[in-house]
Amino acid sequence: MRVHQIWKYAPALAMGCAGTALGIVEQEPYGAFFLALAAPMLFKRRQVAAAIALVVIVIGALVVFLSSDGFASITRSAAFLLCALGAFWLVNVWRARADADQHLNDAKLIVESMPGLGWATDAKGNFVYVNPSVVEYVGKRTDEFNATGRTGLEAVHPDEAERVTAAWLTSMRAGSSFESIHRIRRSNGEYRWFHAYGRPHFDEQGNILGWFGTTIDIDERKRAEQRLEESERQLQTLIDTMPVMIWCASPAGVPIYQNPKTLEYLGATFEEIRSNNFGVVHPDDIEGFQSAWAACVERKSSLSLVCRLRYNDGTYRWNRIDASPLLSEDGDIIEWYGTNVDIEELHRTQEELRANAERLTMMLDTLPAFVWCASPDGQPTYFNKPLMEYSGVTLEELRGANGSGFAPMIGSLVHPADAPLLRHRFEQSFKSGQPIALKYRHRLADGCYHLVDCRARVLRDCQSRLFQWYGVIVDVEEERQAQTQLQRAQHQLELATRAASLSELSASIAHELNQPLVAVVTNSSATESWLGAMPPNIERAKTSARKAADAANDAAEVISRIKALFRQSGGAKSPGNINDVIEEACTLLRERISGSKCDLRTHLEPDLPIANFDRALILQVLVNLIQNAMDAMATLNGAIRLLEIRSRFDDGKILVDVRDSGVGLHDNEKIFEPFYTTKHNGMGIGLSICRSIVGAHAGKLWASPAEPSGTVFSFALPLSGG
Amino acid sequence: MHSEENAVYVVDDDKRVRDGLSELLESWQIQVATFATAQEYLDAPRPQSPSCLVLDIRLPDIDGFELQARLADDPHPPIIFITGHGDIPMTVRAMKLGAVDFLPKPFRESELRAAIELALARDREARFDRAALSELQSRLECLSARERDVLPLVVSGLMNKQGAAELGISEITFQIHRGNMMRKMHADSLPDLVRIASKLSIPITHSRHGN
Repeated sequence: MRVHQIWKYAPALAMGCAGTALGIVEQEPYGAFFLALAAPMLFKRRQVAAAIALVVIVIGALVVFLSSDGFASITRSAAFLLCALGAFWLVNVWRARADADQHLNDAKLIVESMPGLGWATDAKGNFVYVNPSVVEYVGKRTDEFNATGRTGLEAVHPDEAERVTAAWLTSMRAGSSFESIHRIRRSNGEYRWFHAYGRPHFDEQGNILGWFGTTIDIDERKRAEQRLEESERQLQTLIDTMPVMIWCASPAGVPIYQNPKTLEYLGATFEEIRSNNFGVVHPDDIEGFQSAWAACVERKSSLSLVCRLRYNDGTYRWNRIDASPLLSEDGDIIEWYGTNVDIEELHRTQEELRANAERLTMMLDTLPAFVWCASPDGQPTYFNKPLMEYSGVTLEELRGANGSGFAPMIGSLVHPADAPLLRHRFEQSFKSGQPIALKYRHRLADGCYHLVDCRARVLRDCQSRLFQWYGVIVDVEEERQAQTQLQRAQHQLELATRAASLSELSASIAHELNQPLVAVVTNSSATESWLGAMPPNIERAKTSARKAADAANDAAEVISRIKALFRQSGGAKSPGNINDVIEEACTLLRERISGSKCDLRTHLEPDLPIANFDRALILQVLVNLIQNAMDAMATLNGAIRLLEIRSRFDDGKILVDVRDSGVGLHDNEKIFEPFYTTKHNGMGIGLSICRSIVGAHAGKLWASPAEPSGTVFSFALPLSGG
Repeated sequence: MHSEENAVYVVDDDKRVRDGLSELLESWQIQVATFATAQEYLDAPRPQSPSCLVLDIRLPDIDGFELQARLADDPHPPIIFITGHGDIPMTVRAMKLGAVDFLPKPFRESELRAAIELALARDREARFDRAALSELQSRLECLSARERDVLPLVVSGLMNKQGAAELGISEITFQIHRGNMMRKMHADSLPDLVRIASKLSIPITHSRHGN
């Protein structure tokens, strides 16, 4: 019962109820007639309605039959029955029509509210209906479509018109479904993609009555597809044209795709590679490759390895192979994607570099020297193997030592006496970039201190900033010992020569004197003999006596000659520069100075005036003073041995200082006395001779204490030279 | 000493020394010959009387030691070295080579005299020895071949029987040769013969107790 619509029927019901009530009063079955008509109206289910109506009609006919008598009862009841049935039939037919209209109306609503374009044509293809979307989109009505004679094809994009027409005609002829994807012009002239789909509608005989179809806007999808296609095409182009070998393989490693570059590189077809994947790998590398691949497959991790692949000319070239698996959500490998990069040149360069580095390292490690590098601020960055072994420290330990660089090593391995100087020199050089050249005592593997020669130089970058220090430490102990021995030998030779020449001199003096003395003695004895003979031989005695006197005179002559000889020396004064003499003295004593481990510093005034002096004698004085200075420092233990020679011009005199850093003197005057000495092997005449030489030049020689320790011997020579 | 037979040869490059020495030696009544160089001395005839050589070490051509070395092989007068600058090694060397003395100049008269006397005495003795030896050698040369064979066997102390067996002759024959040999050698007894043989450097070749 359509309860909600009941109010629409209220007057009808009211009138029906009134008629029924009047019929009951009149004992006429009008009520049954009314109910028979109302039931199909009121009941949705037609069977129920029909059943109720038929029951009511039968009851009404019975009522009429029973209320009448005789023939009238039959005719009246038959009339009622026929009228009621006829009325019910009509109502029923009307209701069916109303329902059909209702359905059609619903369908139209559906069609018109569809988002797509809905349409219907007759059997010839003329539009009989288009939904409002079509009108709205194309901007034409059905009759306007049909007016062109080409139905909807007129709005199709010219590029697709032919294809769509052909498809439409084919479908019309065959009576099959029509389907097409094409662009349709919009009212504003813009084309959009649509998917058209039409189905034929047949009558009972199978003749086509018309076509119903929808055309759906798939522009977005189509464009997305196109974009996808475009990007796929671009990707493909990219992959195919990129100068990189790209490939893709199945989870098991069977090649699925190899880009042209790969095929060209390998000089093989895809089928060849597919049939023998590892055929292009160098035989020596296959095993490693396969095991690495298997490991990656098992772990589902990325593959990265370097191996040799056969190039298209048959040679093997080093390649770097990188591959990553594409994993599904379940973690299974879907595909492998990989690239090969030819690193032959790189590999070769690397090999060369490595070989070079190895050679260099080997060279550095086998050199009989210590080699080190340090950063500009003095942090050790490299020690060669011997140095590492000798020093027993690692770079890390040194780096960690508060940035003081070499200090720990200097502290532990350098002789305590040399350590402060070395540390000072290192600090200075690391600040200034001055090269380091220093000899010092370094404890080596045998536990003994060896004299080593340390030399370092800094490499500067293009902006001349300090970049890296390179240094070597060479064991020069043997050389030093050899030199020391040589010096000792030289010294001894010198002594021997001096002694020899002294003894030579004394021998020749003795010989010169002895010969006449022998004559004096023998002749005197002979005189005595002649006189003592019996009888005395006076004549022979006279002769002998004369000969003795002559010989004695000869002896006197010898003495005066020797005196003259000694007087001659020290007379040859000539103009000269005292600096030249100082340098000559240093050159003469160079070996001894370096052997004595003295730090020789000379401060020579460049523009000294020319003085008049005996070069040999002044040289002797300088040599004597320098030797004294070295001797004064010979016994120093650990303290700095500083030997300083200074020349200057002051107050019309040339002044020369020879300074040592020894322990100093007790008495600065007594040392000039002859035969006074502070040395255990000295004669004590050197300084007295020096003083007399300087005195002969009208100069002065004196000694004074130096600060903080030691002695300065100074001599002053007047320009006139005395 | 003061015999005219004695002669002293002086080699010194200094004329004053040569003159002084010759004056002194002549005042001692000794014959003197002086030479300025070693070569002059070598060229001069060898002295026949007892003599000695006063030799300066420092000489212009051949020095004293060199001369001493050259003379070492033949009989020569004993050498007294004189030198102006001698030292101990030089002295030792000279004495080892047979010098009589080594006198540093200037030397005392007495030193020289003692040295010369010793040298002359040594030369005289040496000359006597040489003369005696040459006498013995002439005696040895007088021996027959067989007697010369017998001599070392006798000196070695072999009995007649042993000596005869050694030479393969009869004992009687051996005894005859032995007697002749003793007589020719002027040997009065076996010890006398042994002494003579030792001077002649005849070796003892056998032993009585067999080899």
